[in-house]
Amino acid sequence: MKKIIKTILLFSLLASACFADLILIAHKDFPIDFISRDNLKRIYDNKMKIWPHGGSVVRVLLKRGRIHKNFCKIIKRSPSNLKRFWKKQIFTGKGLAPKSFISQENIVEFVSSNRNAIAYVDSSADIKSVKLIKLK
Amino acid sequence: MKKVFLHIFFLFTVVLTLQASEKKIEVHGYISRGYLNSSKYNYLADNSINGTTQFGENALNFNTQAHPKLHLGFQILAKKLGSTGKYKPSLDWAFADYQINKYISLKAGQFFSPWGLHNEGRDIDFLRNTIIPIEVIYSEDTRDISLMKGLEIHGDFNIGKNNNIEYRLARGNVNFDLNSRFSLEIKDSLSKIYSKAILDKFGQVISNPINDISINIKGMNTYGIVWNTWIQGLKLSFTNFEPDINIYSQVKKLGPQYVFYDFAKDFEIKSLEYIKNRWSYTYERLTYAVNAYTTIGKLNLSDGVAQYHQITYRLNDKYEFGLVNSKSINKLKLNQNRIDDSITDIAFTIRADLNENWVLKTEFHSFQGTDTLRTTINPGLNTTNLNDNWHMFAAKITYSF
Repeated sequence: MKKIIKTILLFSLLASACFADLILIAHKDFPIDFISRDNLKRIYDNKMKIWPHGGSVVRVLLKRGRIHKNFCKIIKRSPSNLKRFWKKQIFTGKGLAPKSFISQENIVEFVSSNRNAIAYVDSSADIKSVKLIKLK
Repeated sequence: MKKVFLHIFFLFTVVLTLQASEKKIEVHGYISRGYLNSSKYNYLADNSINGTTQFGENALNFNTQAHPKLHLGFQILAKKLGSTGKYKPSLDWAFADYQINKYISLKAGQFFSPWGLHNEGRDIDFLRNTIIPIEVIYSEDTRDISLMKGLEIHGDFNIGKNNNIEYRLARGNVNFDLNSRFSLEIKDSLSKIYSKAILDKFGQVISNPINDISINIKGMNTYGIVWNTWIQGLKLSFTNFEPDINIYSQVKKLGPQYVFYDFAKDFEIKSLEYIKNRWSYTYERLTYAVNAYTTIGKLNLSDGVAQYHQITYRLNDKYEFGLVNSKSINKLKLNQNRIDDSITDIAFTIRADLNENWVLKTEFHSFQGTDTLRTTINPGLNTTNLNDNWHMFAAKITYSF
């Protein structure tokens, strides 16, 4: 039994280590301090379209890379599946395309000037101009 | 045609007005061109036996979030498949979608009706693994009635943790071209019925007895639910579709005729999709039965069951492979030693995502049977040779932005 608990703990530590290098960011004036994993998935599944305080959700994505792959794991999709899902949303008139960027600097810059944007970057990114959102 | 351009003009006016009000408008589109080559029978396009490039789509769509709760959008589509379409631009989907609250939204306009997992976007090959939507469920014959004009209530809600239900409930009608494949197939099937009636009553052979025909779908009630289960990647779905089809025609010798289609079994589709890492598995099953009430009596037109299994594997960012086994059976023709009582298709597909914008696909199909083949493009369709296996190759390239 102890061995099983140890293994589970080890896996949990490894899993959190995998996501530890990813942080969620929003505009400085964004009134929410944390987002649950479930709501984050709903946001990127195009099921949550309006913030509780009003305003359309503006989704931001990194185009590729390790951080993007880790983010996809959190919302339980593969990068290719996420890309195809959003193409379907766009081409069937269900939503506007997420903003996607190659560089994290561009993401931070975009989020700092968009009150309704939600994004993710590497924890080492310079996020002085935006607000850190906790992932529950 | 004039009506279509008036619609398009009106929608562009809306776009320009919104642009003037500084609402952000997104424009996307795609151009797709394909090739079909089949042995023995024409499949989808008139001259696929000789190989045809008359297979493609051009589309342009406009979307805007006019208000946090209101989404507006429309798409212009021009397509060609054999002799149908001819790249004539038409208004595809166009609707306003208003979110009433967290659980309920209301959609008004022209939109794809609930029909299996993949009716929405059925023209867009880069949204799926196969080039051709799986024909036994997403038949080109039903393309013209896959879009409806009306109202839809839709939304989603959670049941406990990790269980989510999406629902759609729609009511409306359909406008379609009399030269569409759907209309041509109905006309062809009624021609055969009236030819036989004329032969029985007057002893005369008239192969094309219909002078004039008007096909109306007065109303459609459809609904669909999708259960995103607690098992990550597994969803189950059920959709029901019931059109109210009425046909008026002028028939030589018989005079004016009225036909009402009665669905003894509504179109019902049960679906399962499971995505795990690089793999996906999809199963869908369609059942329906339709009778025609005519002035010459009740006729059993079809009692069908169709299903497919599809497995896909994504090798890397570029390549994805797929295997599909589909089958359609017309129970009314079973046990009569007819090759057209069913059709079985085993297809192998390769999808290559060349870059963000370009997708190239190829697929090979091996068929047994001729059930879903159309007599309008296969006048000498074999119904007796039970060993009549045949195959098809298809390729398509698509640019989207």
